[in-house]
Amino acid sequence: MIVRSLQLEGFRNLATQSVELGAGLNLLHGDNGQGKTNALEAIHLLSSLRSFRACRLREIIGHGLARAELRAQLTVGRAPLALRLVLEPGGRRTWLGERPARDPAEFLGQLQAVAFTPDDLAMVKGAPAQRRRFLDRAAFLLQPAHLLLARDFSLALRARNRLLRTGRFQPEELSAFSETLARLGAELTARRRACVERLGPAFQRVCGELLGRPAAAGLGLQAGWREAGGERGLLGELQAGLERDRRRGATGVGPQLDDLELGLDGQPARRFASQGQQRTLAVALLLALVDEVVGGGAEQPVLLLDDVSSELDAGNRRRLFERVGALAGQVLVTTTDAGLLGELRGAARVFEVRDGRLLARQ
Amino acid sequence: MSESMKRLVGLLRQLPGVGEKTAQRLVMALLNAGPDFGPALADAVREVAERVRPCGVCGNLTEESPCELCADPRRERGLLCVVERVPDLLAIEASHEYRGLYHVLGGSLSPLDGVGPDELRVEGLLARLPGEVREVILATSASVEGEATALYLKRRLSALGLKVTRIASGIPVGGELEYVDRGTLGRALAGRREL
Repeated sequence: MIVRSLQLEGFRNLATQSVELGAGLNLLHGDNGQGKTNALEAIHLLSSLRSFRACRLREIIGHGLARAELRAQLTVGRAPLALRLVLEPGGRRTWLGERPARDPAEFLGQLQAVAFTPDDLAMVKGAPAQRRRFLDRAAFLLQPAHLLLARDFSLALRARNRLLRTGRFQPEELSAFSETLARLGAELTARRRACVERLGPAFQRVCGELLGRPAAAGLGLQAGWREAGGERGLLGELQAGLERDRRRGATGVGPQLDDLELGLDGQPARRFASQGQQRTLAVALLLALVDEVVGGGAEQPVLLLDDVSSELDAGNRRRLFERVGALAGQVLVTTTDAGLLGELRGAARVFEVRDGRLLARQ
Repeated sequence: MSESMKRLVGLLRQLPGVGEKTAQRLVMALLNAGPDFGPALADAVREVAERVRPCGVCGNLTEESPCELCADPRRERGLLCVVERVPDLLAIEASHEYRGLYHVLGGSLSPLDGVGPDELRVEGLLARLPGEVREVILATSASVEGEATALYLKRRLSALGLKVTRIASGIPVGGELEYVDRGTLGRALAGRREL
């Protein structure tokens, strides 16, 4: 999947412009605050309808403007596809070609992109919610039906929590939502586990490549409930924890507490890996996903790497860009480091980013 | 635009699927449809608003209570189909495959929207049972709320010794597999049956 061109209007600090991207590696070079990350964010927004930054809609719309508009021309397989997204204070509107999208779900699957931002450097050590988000995104890219399941589960969880918080419900009513939650939850964790098992070998391989040595790296899923019991077991745990859940006004057992564990050399990376190793593992996780999506016969998602190399030493950085440069699909990399330009001579296209403009260098 | 036109546009806009432009188009069409159409439409709207009420038995929309479905002696009284809303009932009726009775809940359980059993016609349903009814068909939607509502009703009905069934979900008849959405296809595979 390739983003051939991108038209931006009123998007953060970026000037109104049309950008032609290369099919392979694209390097966006410039000082901080010039708009490099915003350009990646625009693609990510078209992919997921969510920013990779925690932010409100009105922060995305350029200062003093009423609306922002993004358009992208893609090549999916061999077919062209145009996406259009308009952001206004009242909300967002989406189009596929000339036709308004039926619903967000229809728009979401079209441009597949995976992003790595400086926030992802905390993937190994940070809050479990971040790893669950990655896992659900990965599972969605490997099995599209995962999106619907994750949404339904989240809805059932919020519904049950609302009953617990208000405390006004019939016993049969709470049971109905507990049963629904158990059915969806058991399937959600099972799918996450299948995803982790698929990613494991690729993760091990990519880690070795990035670290420049054979590495015993692995992935594991720590389920937020006793998985062996299956759907009935989860329902039993929900019923057994009812009094605790009522006091807390929240459900204390289930996939909402699942966690992805990253291991290196037989130890939990969260506690034993060095800062530098943790960064490499976080990048490896994303590259493993890209490999696995491509290995499954699907097109490579567009890979967005924001400022990925700044904290890596020279050897790790060289190996990372060799690895990324060897990918067959489209990659966008931002950097403030002019030295990287020399290292990546084979880059398909280099953009200088200044004052919100992306200028292709000849 | 005159004040009276603006007022009508404002009212039409409150209807589902009608925006400013559509509302204006409707008003224009109304004015162009001849002198009798507007008053006739106004009379029809008034009549519907004044006469149509939910059936006191099943919740179907009707001018007589009980409604013509409840009163029809040819309907099979051993079967009761529970739906969320009146359009669901109309859809099942249009299939001509079902000759039993109905019960319209008025929605589905949705704690996030403040809809509990008291907001639905649940007690009305229980009051009808068992009577002559042998089987209750739960035809709530296949959404999270619809499924939870079906599970809730199953529990409330369990003491009555009735047969309680749930409509199947899956591939549309005559449908090509490749055009079926992913969620439906997944559900259809999970709910497969032996041949």
